[in-house]
Amino acid sequence: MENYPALVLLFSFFFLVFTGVPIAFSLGIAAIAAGSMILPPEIILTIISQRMVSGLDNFALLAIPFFVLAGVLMNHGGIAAKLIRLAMVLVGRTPGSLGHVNVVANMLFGSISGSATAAAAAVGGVMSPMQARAGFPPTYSAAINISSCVSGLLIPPSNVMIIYAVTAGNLSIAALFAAGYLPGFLLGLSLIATGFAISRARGYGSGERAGLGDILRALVEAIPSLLLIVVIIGGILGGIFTATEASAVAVLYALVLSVGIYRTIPLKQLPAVLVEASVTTGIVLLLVSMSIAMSWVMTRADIPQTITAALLSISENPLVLLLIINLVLIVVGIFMDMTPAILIFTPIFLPVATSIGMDPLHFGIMMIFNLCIGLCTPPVGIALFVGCSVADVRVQHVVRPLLPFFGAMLLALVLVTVLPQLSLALPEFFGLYN
Amino acid sequence: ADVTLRLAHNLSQDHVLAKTFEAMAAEVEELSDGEMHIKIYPNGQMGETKDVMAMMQQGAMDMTKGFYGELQAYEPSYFVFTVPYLFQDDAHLERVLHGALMEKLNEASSKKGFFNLAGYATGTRSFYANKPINTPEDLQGVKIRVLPTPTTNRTMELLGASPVPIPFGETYTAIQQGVIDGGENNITTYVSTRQFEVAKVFSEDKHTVVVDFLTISTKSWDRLTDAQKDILLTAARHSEESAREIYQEDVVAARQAVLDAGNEIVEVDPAPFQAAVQPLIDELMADPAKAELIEAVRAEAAE
Amino acid sequence: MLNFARRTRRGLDLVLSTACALMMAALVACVTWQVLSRYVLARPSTLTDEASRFLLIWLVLAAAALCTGAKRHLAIDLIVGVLGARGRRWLELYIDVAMTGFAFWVMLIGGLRMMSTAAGVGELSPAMQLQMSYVYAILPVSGAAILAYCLLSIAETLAGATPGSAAAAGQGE
Ligand code: NA
Ligand code: NA
Repeated sequence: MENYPALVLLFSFFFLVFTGVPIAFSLGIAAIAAGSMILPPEIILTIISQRMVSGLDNFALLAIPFFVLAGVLMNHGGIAAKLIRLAMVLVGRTPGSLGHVNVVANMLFGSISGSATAAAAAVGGVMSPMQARAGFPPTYSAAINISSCVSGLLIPPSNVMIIYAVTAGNLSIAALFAAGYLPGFLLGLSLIATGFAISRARGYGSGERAGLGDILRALVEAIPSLLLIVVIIGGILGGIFTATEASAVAVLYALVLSVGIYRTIPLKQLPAVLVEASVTTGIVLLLVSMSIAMSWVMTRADIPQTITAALLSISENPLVLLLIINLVLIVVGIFMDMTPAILIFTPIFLPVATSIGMDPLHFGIMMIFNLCIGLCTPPVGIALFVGCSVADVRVQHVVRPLLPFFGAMLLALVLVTVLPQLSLALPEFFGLYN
Repeated sequence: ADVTLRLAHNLSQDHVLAKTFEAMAAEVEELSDGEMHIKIYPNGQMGETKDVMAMMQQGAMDMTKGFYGELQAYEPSYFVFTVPYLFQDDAHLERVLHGALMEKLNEASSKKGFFNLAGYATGTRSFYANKPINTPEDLQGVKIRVLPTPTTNRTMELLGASPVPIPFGETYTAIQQGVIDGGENNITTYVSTRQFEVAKVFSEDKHTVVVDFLTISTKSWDRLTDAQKDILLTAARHSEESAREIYQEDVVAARQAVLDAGNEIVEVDPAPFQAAVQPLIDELMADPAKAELIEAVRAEAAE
Repeated sequence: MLNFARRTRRGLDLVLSTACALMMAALVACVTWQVLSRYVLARPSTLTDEASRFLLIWLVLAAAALCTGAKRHLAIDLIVGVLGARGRRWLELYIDVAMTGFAFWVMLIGGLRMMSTAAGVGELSPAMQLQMSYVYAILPVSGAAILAYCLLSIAETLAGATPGSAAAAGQGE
């Protein structure tokens, strides 16, 4: 009896998705199907509509439409082209070098904005045309963007870390931030290494051989475009605006540059640009709101607890327990958004983890790392959706190019799980934790 | 017959009221010989309080930790709890929470689909930033994170602060990066949100009280038998006492944590702050309905 | 019949894309003002936060309807490739019916119920003191638009036309 809603949810969702119903609607319909087993249908209809709206009622989500819009403006307005030119002459002929630029840009940008989706939208929106011109298949560059955009959730500052610290209770956020650096860099490095190997094997594009004169000319031409990065990063670090507000400033800057100064976008074309950005926003955020509705049904039907209780009763061996916890989190990450997952699973798993002698700081980093992987996995993953939308590729087409990057991420996760020092060394070194 | 009440709240599990609710659930279980259960969903798993209240109206949830900020959305009278310096001390607030005014508020809320089984006083809100706030002059142009309601906005305006509506989860980094200068809350929240790591001085001007409620949907209440209602009421009343005790312990622990972190706790003379917000009181008193509520609170004050 | 469908679709596309463009522009203005007002005014705006959140809700749900019309929602269309023309039409119908059901029951009916509950108790937003039922109103509106697009698509499929519209207005690519 207890397990029926879980089965109905899983079965109906997979059936709908694989028969081609849009993923957002599959989530919504599966949520109704499972929800109708625990509450009267007329109530569940209203609740799901309410969760859809309140899931969108979140200031941080504004970063998505704004960075998407800034990306569209930069691409139409030739701002991106100038950055492309610069990147091409700078990275030279290393295999897959533009892919590495994408990873590093995501680490930098995600680190500051603390949002995987904002990074995927901002960096991917600019980088995918660049990589297409350099001869990368769009699905491959989307895969790099998708897998690397989550690194900023581990490299501080990071809002999901704050949520974990507060949910876990009495954990220093400063210490947790310090704990995230090494695992975050490890994630980025493992992706760069994977990209390097693949690009060399397949001869994927790189930049061009350029003389000093070419480099200087490209640099001078790119200065106004580079200033955008200075304004955004400087503004956030200088405390002028928050990371979410920075996305609006980015739009304004790209607007002034492309419409006012370069005049590459005629005013007449502006409505079309706004609609294009709205469409991407609609695709991505409808998915977010539906996945929040689905999370509610899962929680209300006690699905996480039921699954967890069954799995944790299997063994008391610490390593097996850790394996089970990681497996549950990966499966959960496939369906659930990060914030509800942290809110629900921290109270369930943290006591188990501490009882086998795991440090709460180490556990938090492991859990966030794990859920980061979930953000990129099909069929549900917000980083996956944003990455596919900004690169204009189909979800099923990036699955194969994503596989080697998943492999790298999983390997890194194993290292983060079995080597507590990766998480604890820095906080201890800085005296933030003992 | 077996009955399960679902209680969703947005507090982390080490919060005073989260602990209180756990104890209350155990007591209900015991008093009913295992026939009544309270299932708790902590951490805002089910959504923010305003969302949970909408679910309660639909009959999909039974109870929540009500807060005057959200209750105000349905019954404007709850604004009295946001009026600065209206309550003399905890005892005054306790009398109001158990007096005639509260009955009136509950009656009004019932028409909107819920009422409060218990009220919890958890200290007062004060400012914290990276400098002491001794007088309203120290607040001039200081950017303070607020939950915007008409009364709080006016209070901040009169005190000279710049109110900035930053989402709860972004407050820590906003203070750290200097987008805002500080916030305002009770000392236990200042500690549990870890904001004491980034805002080093807690200045106790105590401008408003902090009140939370145990709010139940009238639909769920009507479903209970008289015996079950008695059990729930008894446990709710006990929960007020245990919340008081746990809060006292938590305040001591929070103050210690603040001092251990090398932070400062500044005693502040509230008189200049009180004088500065007087125009707000005058404006509220000009509205007969609001004046009546404020007078009702004042009537419970000690001689 | 098909002519009528085409005209209705074009009208809906135009209304929704105009609304989206305006709301997107308003959002940028709103958040820019939030930053500016902190430095220009002694008392920064406390309404922009709430206003921009509500605008976002409206924008997303209006844009979601637009995407439905343009068949731009992310989907995994694996089995379309293995089906013949006849099978494709049946699949097309099944997908449209599934979306019609959701738009009708959850967005239209559920949304109207949510609106009427909020209006009945007079639920107000904290900062702007706005009736929350106005905010929720976009849900049935968007639901009705999605419903219309799906019904148009069903009509077109049954009439044997090529399913799907030209990309929504403003879609250059
Ligand atoms: Na970050
Ligand atoms: Na996933």
